Amino acid sequence: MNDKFSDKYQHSAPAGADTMENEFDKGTGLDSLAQKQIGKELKSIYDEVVNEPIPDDMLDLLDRLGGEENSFS
Amino acid sequence: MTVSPEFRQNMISLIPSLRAFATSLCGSKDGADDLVQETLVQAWTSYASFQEGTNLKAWLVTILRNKYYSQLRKTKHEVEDIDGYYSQNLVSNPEQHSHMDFADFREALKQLDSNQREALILVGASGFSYEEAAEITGATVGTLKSRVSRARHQLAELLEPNSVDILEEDTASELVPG
Repeated sequence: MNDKFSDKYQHSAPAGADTMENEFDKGTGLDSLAQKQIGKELKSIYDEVVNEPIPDDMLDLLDRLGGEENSFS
Repeated sequence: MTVSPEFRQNMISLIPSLRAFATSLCGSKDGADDLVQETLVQAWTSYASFQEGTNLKAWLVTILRNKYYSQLRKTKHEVEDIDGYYSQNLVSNPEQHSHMDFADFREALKQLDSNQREALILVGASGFSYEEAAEITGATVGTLKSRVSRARHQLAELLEPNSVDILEEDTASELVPG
């Protein structure tokens, strides 16, 4: 397992070049291991919030929204 | 107009995903929860415009992201201390980052252009297809793919500054995200 990702990167464009749209789609110039890590980390920070309980005030809000319409008399 | 119990329950079950999407998009918990609350209110009041049986998650996310962009337009700028961040963190000590430093991932995500960040989250975390993401954002599939690619490339640059062909001494002045 390499520690230095910099060794594995291909240099496919000079700094600041913003003309690589097709290359981006094909994935050239980017290390696929790095991309997997980016994907994993993104999901990780996203899932962290998904797994939290819903804040009470948010549930209260829904009750208040529902309460305006539902009057059981 | 009263929403159906089914709609209410489906909406509740989607709140965690909405919070996650909003947090990643805003880069802040409090801002995110405010957005989600506004979304819930609008979803409730716009209930009549929702077609039962269609993708509720996409419908809610669309409301949320539209509110996010309205907010951005109102504040007219995204407040990010870009220069301060770079000079203090990633760029000044590149030797310390021989691997991707994921402690900075959330910060790096915030540095992205909002369209790119949004595209990446929709497709890479929220689980939407490119077609669904295109519909949510009002863009073409091609544009979404381009945004996701740019987002990934930009993140790779931010997290591993030596990984793309950037001259170290010029990095501090030339690294302008977005």
